Amino acid sequence: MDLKKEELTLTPDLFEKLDDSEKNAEKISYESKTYFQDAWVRFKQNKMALIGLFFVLFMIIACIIIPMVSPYSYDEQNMAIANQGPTMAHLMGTDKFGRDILVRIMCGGRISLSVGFMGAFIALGIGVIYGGIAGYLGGKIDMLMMRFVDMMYSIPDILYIIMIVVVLEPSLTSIMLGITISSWMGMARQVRAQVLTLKEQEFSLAAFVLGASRKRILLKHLIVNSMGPIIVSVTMLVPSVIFNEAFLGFLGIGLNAPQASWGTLANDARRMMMSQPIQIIWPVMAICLTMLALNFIGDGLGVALDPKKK
Amino acid sequence: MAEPILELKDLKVYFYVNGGFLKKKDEVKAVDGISLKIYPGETFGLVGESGCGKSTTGRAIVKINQPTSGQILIDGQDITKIHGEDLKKFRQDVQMIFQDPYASLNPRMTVGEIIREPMDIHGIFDTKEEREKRVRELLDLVGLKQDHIRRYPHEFSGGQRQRIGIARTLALNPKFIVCDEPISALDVSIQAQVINLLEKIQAEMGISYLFIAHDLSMVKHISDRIGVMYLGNLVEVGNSDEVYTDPLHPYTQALLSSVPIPDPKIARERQRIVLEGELPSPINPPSGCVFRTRCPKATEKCAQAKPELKEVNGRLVACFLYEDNKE
Amino acid sequence: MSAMLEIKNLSTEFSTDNGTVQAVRDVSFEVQKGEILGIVGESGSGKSQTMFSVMGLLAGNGRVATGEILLDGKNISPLAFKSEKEYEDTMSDIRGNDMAMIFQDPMTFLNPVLTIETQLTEPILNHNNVSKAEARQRAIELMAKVGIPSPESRIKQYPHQFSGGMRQRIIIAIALACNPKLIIADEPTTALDVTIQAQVLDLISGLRDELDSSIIMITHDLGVVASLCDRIAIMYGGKIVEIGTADEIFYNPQHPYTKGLLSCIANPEDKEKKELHPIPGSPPDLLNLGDWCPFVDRCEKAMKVCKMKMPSQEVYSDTHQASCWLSHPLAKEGKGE
Repeated sequence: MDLKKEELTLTPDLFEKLDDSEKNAEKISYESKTYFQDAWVRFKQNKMALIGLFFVLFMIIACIIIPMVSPYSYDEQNMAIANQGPTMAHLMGTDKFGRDILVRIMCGGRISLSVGFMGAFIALGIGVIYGGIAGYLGGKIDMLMMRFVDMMYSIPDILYIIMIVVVLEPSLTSIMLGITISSWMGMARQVRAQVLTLKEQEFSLAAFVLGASRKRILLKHLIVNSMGPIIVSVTMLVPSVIFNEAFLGFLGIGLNAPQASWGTLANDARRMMMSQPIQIIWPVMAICLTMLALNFIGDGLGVALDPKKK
Repeated sequence: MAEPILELKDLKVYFYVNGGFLKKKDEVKAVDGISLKIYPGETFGLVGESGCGKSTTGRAIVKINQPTSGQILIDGQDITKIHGEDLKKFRQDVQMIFQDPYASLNPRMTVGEIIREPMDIHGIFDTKEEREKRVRELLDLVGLKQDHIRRYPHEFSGGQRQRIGIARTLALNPKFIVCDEPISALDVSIQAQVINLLEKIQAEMGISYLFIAHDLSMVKHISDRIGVMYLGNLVEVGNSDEVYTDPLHPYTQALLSSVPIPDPKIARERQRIVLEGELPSPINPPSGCVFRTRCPKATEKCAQAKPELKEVNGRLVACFLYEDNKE
Repeated sequence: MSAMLEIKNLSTEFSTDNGTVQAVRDVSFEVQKGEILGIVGESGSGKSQTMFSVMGLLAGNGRVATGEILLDGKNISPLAFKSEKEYEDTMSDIRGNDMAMIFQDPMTFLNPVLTIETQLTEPILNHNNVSKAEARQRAIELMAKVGIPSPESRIKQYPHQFSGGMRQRIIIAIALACNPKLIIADEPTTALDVTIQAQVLDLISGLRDELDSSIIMITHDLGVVASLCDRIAIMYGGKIVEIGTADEIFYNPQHPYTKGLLSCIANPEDKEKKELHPIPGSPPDLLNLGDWCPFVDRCEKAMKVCKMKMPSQEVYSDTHQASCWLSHPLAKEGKGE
C-alpha cells in the first residue's frame, strides 16, 4: 500500500466517525425552480427566439407610442406633400393623400397585432374548453364533438370568413369573428390529444382515486399540464391570424378607409407600385418581420417548454 | 376470524378492443372470475406475470376499471355501483399507491400542494393552516424534510417521490391501500426503504394492503398471504411461507423456481422448471384450465373443465391434480 | 488464461447544461477469455456508461477523458486514435464482429419495418465474405441455437410478431452472428417476466459453455448475477467499489455498500422473516462528486477521512479487491467483523 506517500497526513483523528450532520444523504443540490423559470432559462439560450421576443415587444411599444407623439395623424390629408419619398420630416415618406406612412403603419400595426393576439387567444379559449371536454369525457360525446370539428375543417376557411365579413359588414368585430371561427378547431384537436394522453397518466388516475371531481381533474391536472404545447401553438397561431387579416385586407374586404391595417396598407400601396414602389416595402416589411419574429419565439418556446427535450 | 375488509366475489373485468365500424369488438378477459378475501391489518400479495390481470384487479377495486360482473365488497358493502356520499366515504377508506413515481405526481404542483390535495377535495380540516400542519406531519412520517414542502416533484429522486406519493395516500387515513407495484421502478437500495416504510405505517395505523408485484422475493417478505394469478385467474392462494416452500399448483412451482436467488451456492444447485411455449392471448384463452397449454402435468380432463379453487392442506388451489388425489 | 478485455483507468465525462457529469471515474478491470463478469450497480452508477465507452456508443455530449481499453491486446480507446473518423472506422469493424452488445429493450433495437431475416443476416454479410444464401442458412442456425421454434418459417416475420422473450432471443442471435470474442449484455432480462428471464439466463449460460466468448453482464439485480457470473464488480458513483468472485462478493463482502446491498434485498430462501436494512438516503448526484468516497453520505460507518480523500484499493485475495478506508490500519471499526 502506498498510503504513506500521499500528501494528506493520515492521523488517527481522521478515522473518527463522521457525524450524521456532515452527511447530506437527503440533500437536494439544485435550487428550486418552477416549470416556467426553468423554461425561461432554456428560452434565453436561444438567440433567435430572444431577438424575436425583443422585436415583437419593440413593435408593440412603437405601435402604441409613435402615433401618440407624432405631429401627424393617420387620416390627416395634405395633397401638397403627396407621394414623397423618405425625408427627415416623414421617415417613411407620404402616401398619395400626403399622409405620413410611419404613423399609418403604426396605426395599422395596432389593428393587425390586436387582431392577431385577440384572435389567437379567443381561439385558445374555445379550443381548450372544447378539446378538454371532448378528450376528458371521451366515448360518444367525444366522437360527436370531434366529427363536428371535422365538418368545420372540411369548409375552406376563407369561404366563411368572407361570408361572415360580407353579411356583417366589414368591421373589426366581423373580421375577428370570422378569423376566430376558422382557427379554433386546430387548437381543440391539439388540446384533446394532450388530454387523452395525460388522463391515462398515473397522476390523473391518482387524483381520480383521491375522489377529485371531473372539473378539478380537468382544470388542475390535465389542462395545466398541457399548457406547454398549447402555448407554443398559440404563439404560432398569432402570425397566422395576422396573415389572414392582412390577406383579407389585401383582397379588399378588410377595414374601411381611412382605418387601416397592414393588409389594407399593402393593398393601397399595390396600386402605386409602378410609380412609388417604396410605399409597398413598408407594410410588407412590417408583416414579414413580425411573422418571422413570432415564429422564432414559437420555435424557442417549443424547445423550452417540451420537457422531453430537456 | 374477523370480517374481511375486502371481499371479491367472482370479479370479472373484460375490455373491448380492435372494434371498428361494422366490426365486432374483441373481448379481452383481463380478469376472469376471481374471488378472495382480505382481512383487517393483513397484507395480501398478488403475484403473476405481466398480462395476468393483477393490476386490473387492483384498479377495479379503486374503481378505475369498471367490473364487467361480480362484486367488490368493502366492509360488506358492494362498491361497484355506489355514488354520492357513499362514494366519497369509499374514497377516504380505500386508496392506491402507484407504480411509477415519476408519473404519479403532477409535475406542476409543489409537494405541499400534492399532499394537501386529498384534504382539499374532502374538506378535511377547516383552515389551510391545519392542513399545512398535517402535511408537515405526513412529511415527517415518510421521512422527508419539512422544508421540501415548496419544492417540485422533479427535484426528488425516485425513492423520495414514492414517499411523497405514500404521504398523499395517507392524508385521508385510509383503511385499505392497493399498492400497485410500488417498488418495481425503484433502485434496489431504495426498495427496502419503501417496504420498511409501508410496514411501519401498517404497524402504526393498522392499514390492510393489497400488494401487487412481480418481484416474488419482496412480495413474500411483506405479505401474510399470497395469491398467484395466471391469465385472469387465481390459481393458488395461501400463507406466504407455505406457498413459497411448498407450492402446489404447477404454475406456482414453475414461477417460484424461476425467481433469481441472491445466493450463488443455492442458485447453482437449483433446478429450474422451464415453462414451454408462450402466454396464450387473453382474447382467446384456452378451454378448461387456462394453464394447460404450458403445464407439464396437464391431462385430458384439464381441457374439458375449468378447475375451481378448492381447499387443499389449508390452502386454495385450482388444479385437478389435487382433486383426483382426494377422490 | 489471458485477458480478453482490459480496462485501465477509464474516465468518461458528459457535459450538460448544469456542468460536467463524471459518469465513469478511474475504472480498471479485466475480463478473462470465456469468463462471465457481472457489473452490478444502481441507476447512475456508471455501469452502462462504462460499457458504452468500450463500445464507442457514448451519447453526443459524452467523451472518454482518460484511460486505455484493450480488446485482446489492442487499444480501442478513442484517445488512442488520431482522428474521430479513424476511430469510427475501426469501431464499426469491431462492433458486431469482435464485440457485440445485447440491449435491455429489444423493441428499440430491432427495426420494426424489416424482417428478422434482413436484420439477422446484415451483420453476417457485413463482416464475412459470404453469399446471401449462406448468410440465411447461418441465420437459421443461430435462431435454432437461441431456441426459437421453427426458424425456417419465422425468419420471414417482423419483430412485432414475436413475444418479448422471443425478441430478446433474436437480439442474442444477432449478437452471436459473427462469433464475437466479447458479448456485453446491458440488463438483458430487466424487461422480461421471471419465467422468461429464467429461460434467457439459461440460454446465456448455455452459450458460454458452447462458445468461448467472454460475457459482461450489466444488471441491478444481485439475484441474476448470483447463479450466472464467475466474478462480480460492484459500481457506485462512477467507481468500482468492490470486485471479486461471486462467492467472495456474496459470502465475504468488504465494502459497506456491497454489505448494504446484500442486506436490503429479501432472500426468498430465508426461513425466518428477516428485517430489511435499507441503505439510507438517495443515490449520489454525479454533478457534485468530490474527490472522496462517493458512498460517504449514505454510509453508516463513514469516518472523517472518507469525506477528504478517495480510499485506495485494498487487496483481499488474487481476485478480491475493495476500496474503503475501513481497511486502513488506523480505522477502529471494520476490523473483526
